[in-house]
Amino acid sequence: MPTCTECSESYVHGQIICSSCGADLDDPAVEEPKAHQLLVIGVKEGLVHVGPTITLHVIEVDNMTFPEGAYVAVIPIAKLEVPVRIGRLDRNQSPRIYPELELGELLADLQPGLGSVVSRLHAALQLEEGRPVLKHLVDHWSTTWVRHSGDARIWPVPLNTPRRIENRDCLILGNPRGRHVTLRVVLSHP
Amino acid sequence: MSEVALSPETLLDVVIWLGRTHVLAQAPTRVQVLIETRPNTRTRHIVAPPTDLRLVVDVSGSMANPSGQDKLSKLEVAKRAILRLLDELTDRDYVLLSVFSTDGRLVIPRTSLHRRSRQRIQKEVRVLQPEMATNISAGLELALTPEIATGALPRVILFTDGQSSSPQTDHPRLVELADLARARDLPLSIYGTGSDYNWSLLQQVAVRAGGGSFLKHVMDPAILEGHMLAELAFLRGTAIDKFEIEGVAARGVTLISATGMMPQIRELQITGDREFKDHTGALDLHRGAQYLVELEVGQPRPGKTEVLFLTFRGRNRSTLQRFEHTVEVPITFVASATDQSTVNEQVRKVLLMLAAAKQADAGAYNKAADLYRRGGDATTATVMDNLHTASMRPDADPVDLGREATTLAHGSVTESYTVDPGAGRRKH
Repeated sequence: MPTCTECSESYVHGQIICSSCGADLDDPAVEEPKAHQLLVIGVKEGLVHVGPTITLHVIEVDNMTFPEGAYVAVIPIAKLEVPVRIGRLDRNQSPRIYPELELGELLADLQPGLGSVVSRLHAALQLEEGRPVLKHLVDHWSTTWVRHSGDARIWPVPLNTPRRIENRDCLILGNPRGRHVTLRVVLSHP
Repeated sequence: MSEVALSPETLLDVVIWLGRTHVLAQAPTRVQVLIETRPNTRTRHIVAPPTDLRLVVDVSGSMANPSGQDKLSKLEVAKRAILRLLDELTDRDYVLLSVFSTDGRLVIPRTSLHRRSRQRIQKEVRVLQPEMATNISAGLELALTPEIATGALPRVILFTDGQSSSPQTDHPRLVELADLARARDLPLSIYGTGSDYNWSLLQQVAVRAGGGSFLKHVMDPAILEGHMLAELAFLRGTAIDKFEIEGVAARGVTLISATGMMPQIRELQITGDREFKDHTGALDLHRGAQYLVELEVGQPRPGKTEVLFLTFRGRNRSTLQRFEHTVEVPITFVASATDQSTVNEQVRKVLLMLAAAKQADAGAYNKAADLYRRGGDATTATVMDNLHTASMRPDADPVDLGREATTLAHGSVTESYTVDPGAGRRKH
């Protein structure tokens, strides 16, 4: 049980004020979770990016939800001059294809025993006219969708057709009503 | 905020605030519900009913002592306050005056205030003199016995400065009289001064009498006049009477606490971990009534769920129609911490003021002042600072200071909700 930092009185999640001393209580449930950085090929790990970035937060995997900041990939916008492909590494494939943003390992950790919902090369982020766009890349059964910020509807992204993405849009890889991964887009300079 | 729609003839506005509207589902989770009730603004057009004021005054020997800053005795100050109150009453109002010393004496039976009786009453008040011992119950009994004048709003105002001379008989009788007051819907406003009177006994009497009864400490009896006039204004603003609130927690939800805040902060009794009830009594349009309920949900699941069922009962003073309404209080539990809503500032303010009152009760006036400041109540914070300074003086009377602090602190939430009848808005 958490305790008040002022008087050490224990409290329960949801309490707002310490019943003993009146101090504001930090709700441990909403503390920033320790971020799990997803590696992006071509982006050096641990660097602080001073220019514009696009951060992808994994917020849903099937019926599991995660707070923003739990699983993140930070990509300098400049890196989107060449496509940053989102997919999974298939170690049984030869030769192997390495997507720039590899989700396979994370999905295997979160859903052990289940097949991945993401294709090897599922979608790609890139710049068009200086703005980030999303492209759906591959095979006949996998799908990619976008839910724009403030809009309840979801829009399919046709194969190889760029779709503009804005700050706080959600990218849905897979079946939105079934197995899927949702990534929230956060632009540092929207 | 969610405003609860009740039928128009109820003349009651109910607003419910949740500590957070969206709370992360985690076992267990606490949720806070702030309930604000107030007679509808349409009640302003209702003609104020007559009042039936019953004044019970201590005339024991100690009332001859000086009241404080001015040289007048406490009794003289009390007499001055009563005479001022009489000036404010109209021909439609009723007054009763009983005094107590060794015995009780009915100085003025319940009397309608027409011109001749008014002069007679004023004369009787002016000639009151300090006598011998203190027998509170004898005076109170005389005030509680007569029937309430038809259609009038009753209240007993009792003023004392001393301990009972015969506690073995006086104390149990006072408790019985509190029950009688409750049964007859005759709320008690008890004012004590000095550090000799039995604070805890009179508090118990006020709690038992219910219906908006209270005990207030007046450090300086000179302010009694202001208290009495405010009482009259509140009484005349009564638009709903026989008001009750009842709360039942949903299945799987435990009631942690229920606090009533009008006219003073008081813990409401919880039965069976899930229910509370408060006989609030008269509801005036200046103050309304507020309650804070804290619940614990054992196994919350994401989604919207009812956590509390509230029932409001009362009677419209103008039509005399009774009403009863039940409303559900839903809360949304979310699976993700990022979807949790921020803390409602009104709920936070009330929680801070309740925490401040606890510190004031414990004599930690400086801590109470900090909490009032954080809650946005600078006025009470300043008074708490002054009490802190006063408590450091070598001649400080800690009992007197403590009672003053408790009175102030326990009335502070209601004070912050009080609408100045002239300005039509909250004081703070």
